[in-house]
Amino acid sequence: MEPILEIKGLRKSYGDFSIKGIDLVLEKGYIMGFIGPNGAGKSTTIKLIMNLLKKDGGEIKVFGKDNVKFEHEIKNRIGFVYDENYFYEELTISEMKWIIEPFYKTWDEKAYKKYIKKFELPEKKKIKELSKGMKMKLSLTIALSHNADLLIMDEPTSGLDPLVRSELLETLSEVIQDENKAVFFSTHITSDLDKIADYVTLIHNGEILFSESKDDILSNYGIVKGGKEILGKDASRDFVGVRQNRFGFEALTKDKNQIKRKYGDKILIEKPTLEEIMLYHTRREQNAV
Amino acid sequence: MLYSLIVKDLLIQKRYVAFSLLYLLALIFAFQNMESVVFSAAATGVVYILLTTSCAYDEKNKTDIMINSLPIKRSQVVAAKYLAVYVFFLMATVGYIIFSNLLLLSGAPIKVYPMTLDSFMVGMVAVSIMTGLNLPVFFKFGFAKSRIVGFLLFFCLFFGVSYIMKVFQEWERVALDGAITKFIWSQGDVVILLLKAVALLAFIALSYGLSVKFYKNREF
Repeated sequence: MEPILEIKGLRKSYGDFSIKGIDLVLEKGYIMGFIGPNGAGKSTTIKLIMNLLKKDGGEIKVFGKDNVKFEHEIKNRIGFVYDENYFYEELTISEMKWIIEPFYKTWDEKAYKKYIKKFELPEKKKIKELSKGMKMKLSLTIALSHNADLLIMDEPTSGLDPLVRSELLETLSEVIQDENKAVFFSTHITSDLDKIADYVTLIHNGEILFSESKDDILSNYGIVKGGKEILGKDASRDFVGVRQNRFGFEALTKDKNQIKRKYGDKILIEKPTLEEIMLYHTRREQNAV
Repeated sequence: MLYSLIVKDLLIQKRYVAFSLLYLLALIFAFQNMESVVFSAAATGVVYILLTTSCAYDEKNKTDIMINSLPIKRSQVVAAKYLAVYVFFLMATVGYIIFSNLLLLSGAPIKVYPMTLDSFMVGMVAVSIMTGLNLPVFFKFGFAKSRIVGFLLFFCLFFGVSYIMKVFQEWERVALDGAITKFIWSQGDVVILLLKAVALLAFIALSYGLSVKFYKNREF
């Protein structure tokens, strides 16, 4: 079975920033959280998938097909939600829908009506009069109204209140009940992923630091605390993002069982959150021992 | 899909569509001594207003990102903009015919110059030149830069339509030495009209080709 999204050796440079040959795979039936700090390359990667930016090298396959050669066919099966509103603010919701509808071969009016009702969207209201949360719900409604098999979302929860965020996440959980669909979801609010993600991919400075199942990450990673005396030659191999203070050190480990076996009672291991895992990874260069 | 994008260019600027028709009416009153070029100048003005506003709204809302995330080819996005220009021109034409006839019927004490085939042709040429030169700049650099080019073109064409008309008439009167020219002028009016139409179409096709090439290379 072909992955729904497959990226191999993707490269893109512009200005001082570059995507440095990244790889990732997303299978049907899963939600992948794409995390990283601002400026890490999340939006650039998404724009490359959507062919809004031209890649310098590498391969992007969506539904097993090249994203540029089969762009038209692929986009018929993609629903997109971006961090900002890119609809015409001067139009009403129903006018915007009327313009977008003919583009999709599989437009589903029933689904559109269902989400309009669910999100209580005022169809006769101009888009510029909608709140940020409403605009995001409109994007999601459009994305879910043409039986898309892949949802691509670029920071959809950024700037939203907890209630709207929770509504969005709940809707995504419902969508993914259909095992033929997948969601690729970029965010820097990692707590969103605690609830819904199956896989988590971390990007930093244009490089993928890891792409693993969330359960594996949470069961294998650990925050290690201990005395400085154990920070020997192996420290850079054993630990990520070592932070030292007067009393000892704190660091992240990718394999807490192995570290426990190696250091025994000299260390204390705590369960990390996804946010802590991201922070330890992304500050690695500044604090490495 | 093209239809949807063209209607979009009208829907986003409903107020400006109404305003441009009022502008058309105002020009009939203002241009009392311009005779047959009133229509050409007014239509060029209407198209300029509507084209500029539609491009400005595209840029303001950054809708290139949304449009190009939909299943549509970039060449179709470009084609829709070119076609929208001729829809604007058609609207100006219909508006002018209605207003000029209403004014004639009302017996208002002003000079009303009905649209002639010549003024229609000159208007079409002026609008095509304006569009043909402006849109490739828009699709390459976006609205901010194309606005300057568009304004200069509009300024030249709006005030230059009478000159274009004279040139047209001159070309028709003066047969130059040379077999091809003599052959052309020896043909009937229909053939000459067709040749002009072909030249205009070739110009627009070239402009469209350039716009597509530029837009395909744009990044958002």
